[in-house]
Amino acid sequence: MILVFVFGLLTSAFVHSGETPSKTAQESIGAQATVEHAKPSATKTMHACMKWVQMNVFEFEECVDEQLNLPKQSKAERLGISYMGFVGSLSAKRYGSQGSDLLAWKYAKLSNKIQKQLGLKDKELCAIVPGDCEVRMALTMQILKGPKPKPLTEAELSTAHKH
Amino acid sequence: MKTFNPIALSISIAIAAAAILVACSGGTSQDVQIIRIIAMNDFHGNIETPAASNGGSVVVKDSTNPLGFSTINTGGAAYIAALVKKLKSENANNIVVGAGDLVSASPVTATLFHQEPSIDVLNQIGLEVSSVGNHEFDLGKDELLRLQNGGCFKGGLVGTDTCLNNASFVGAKFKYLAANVVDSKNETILPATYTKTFGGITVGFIGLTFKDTPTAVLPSGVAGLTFQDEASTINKYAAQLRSGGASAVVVLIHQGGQTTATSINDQSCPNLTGEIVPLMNAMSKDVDVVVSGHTHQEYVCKVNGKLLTSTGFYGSVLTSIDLTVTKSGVVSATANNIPVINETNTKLPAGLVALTKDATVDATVQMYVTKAAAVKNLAVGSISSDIKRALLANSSTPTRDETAEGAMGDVMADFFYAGVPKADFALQNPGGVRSDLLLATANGVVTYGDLLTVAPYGNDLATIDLTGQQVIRLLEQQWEAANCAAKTGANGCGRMLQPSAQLTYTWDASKPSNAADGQGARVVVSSVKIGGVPIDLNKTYRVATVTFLAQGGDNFTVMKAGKNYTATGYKDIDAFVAYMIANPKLAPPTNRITKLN
Repeated sequence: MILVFVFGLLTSAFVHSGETPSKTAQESIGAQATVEHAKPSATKTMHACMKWVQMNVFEFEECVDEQLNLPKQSKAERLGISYMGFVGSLSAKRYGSQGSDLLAWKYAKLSNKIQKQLGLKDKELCAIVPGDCEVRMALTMQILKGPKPKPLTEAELSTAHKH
Repeated sequence: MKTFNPIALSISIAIAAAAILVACSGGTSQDVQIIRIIAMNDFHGNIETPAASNGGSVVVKDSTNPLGFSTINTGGAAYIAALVKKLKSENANNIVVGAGDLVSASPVTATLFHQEPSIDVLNQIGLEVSSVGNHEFDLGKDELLRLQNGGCFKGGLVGTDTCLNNASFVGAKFKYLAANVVDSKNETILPATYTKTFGGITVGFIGLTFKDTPTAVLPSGVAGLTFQDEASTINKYAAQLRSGGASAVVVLIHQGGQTTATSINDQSCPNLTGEIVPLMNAMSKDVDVVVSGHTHQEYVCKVNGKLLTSTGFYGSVLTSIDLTVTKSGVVSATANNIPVINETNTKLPAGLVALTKDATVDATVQMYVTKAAAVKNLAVGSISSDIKRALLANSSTPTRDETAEGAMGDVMADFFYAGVPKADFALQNPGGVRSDLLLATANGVVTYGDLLTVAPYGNDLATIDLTGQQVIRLLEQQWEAANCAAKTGANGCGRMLQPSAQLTYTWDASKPSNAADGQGARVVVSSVKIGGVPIDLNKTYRVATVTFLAQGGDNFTVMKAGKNYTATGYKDIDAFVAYMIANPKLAPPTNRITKLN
């Protein structure tokens, strides 16, 4: 029990430091600890922000950015928030929600950057938010390799309405 | 060419299973029916095909694509009608149902003609019953009842913007249900339930909207109405339907949730959250299926032993629900969300085929589009440079910043002021400024359609009297807790009311925001001028605005303490047109609000 506690402290310190993990035998355990740290912030973001994903994602973006801007956050927590932002954008993209392409790109880039810093594999990242990892990872790859989507034009935006 | 049809196959399997069940139970074949329910929600009058970037596309799984998925274009009433016909042809025991927000907050074509095109098209699609949603109350109970029962729009011009077909409007052939909306006599304003019998098996439907609907619409539109608790209403009527002989109960509710699925019809229903979840858990065993809406999300889930569905929005997807029902209840319930695949797709995944437009519905849609174009394209004014809203600086897509003053909002307040008699100044709520006027759009020419994109709600202008003290309090409410929690942007948090030229003032950003209601102190009182004269705290001022704000909308509760509230009956869009005609080559006005620190 004590060993588990000490290990938890060590992994917690590592996750909060934002250091890139070394390729050690504990790599996968470290990755799991990172995922476990990221999950609560992703869940919190989901409960706070997913209700704003509607016919457009503008208010959802506002909500996720607010979560990202909260002070004193570890990299794992920021990963959870930004990845939830990505998953929420993808979720909105599945039924053509306005702005979802560009927002998915924005959060894909951000979460990918933090993912690399924390040394997580794609499957480990996907586990932060349960769902269809096969489609999600394919979409992630496509978005990261593709060009930045163009912002909507004013004319396209003009159809937005109050919910 | 004969193609594999998983839906037809699933029906065959269900029928076979039902036959076995009948044989085992010793009943007759009439004792079991396979019933198909075709569901939609949040159509919002999208009779034309919506843009792919705005509800007109879906992501589907695609095993033939190396990526595992494909995005396809969807929607359009003529295609919805075609899919409905196809789904009906597979099972004669069918019914088309809705879960609210079928009208209002619509594209211009439906808005211009007061939703008559939406109802006309839904009639032709074959909708039979729907719950009301919050948007059915946008223009109040009386207008909802007109859409149900027919008649021309009050104040409209017959043949021009209302009653376009033989000078009449027949209303909805489908039944709107409102089980939890009661009047002062505690009677529902529309029927609570609907039943349909299929070969001796009766299915009961309950229709309702979310109980907080009054917070989403104009108070005057729901005055005298009570929106009752959803779960207790459902359970009461479900028990009544059961005791009346219904073998299955389907709830049509304008309330929903959201999942984190990445493709449509993901029946694993990942991470379902939202208001619908506790409601599902509170529903009795009498309920079998819940068709939901409001959140504009798409899902097929199982919660508390009940099927839960939603299609997204704008008619991009339909849900096909198959129930195997005996006299004693539902034996099985399955559902699939099926894309309304239109002909704008250049390539489709293997196994998917574009629908062919239903000719009758298409002709109806085109008739309304042609009539609307003539009105939308009318030039009503001009601008000399872009007139924009305040926009969020770091948003990925241009998004209005409700914490800041914008030229477009100021112009709206200016035409409010010009549109009512004897006001001292005018205010617009920032959320009501929906678009910009851009010079490049048509070389500075502004059309009626352009103005509708800025002011799409058809709000009435209103006036209300406030004391100088109340005006200060009203301005403080911009940054107090309720509005601070609602919006963030360049000025931190809050909702900045957009003032007409007659109101100028300075506020101090170094003073705290997010104060408790009544405790804000950011307005520099000595700076406030109305009509160029310092405000008199004891004097009464007449404020022009829209009914939404005058009734205390967006947490501006000070308005409720005002006196002499008057809804003028004059539409904001009409005042806007008059203002543009009177002010050719309109330029963005200078700011009326000054920020200190």
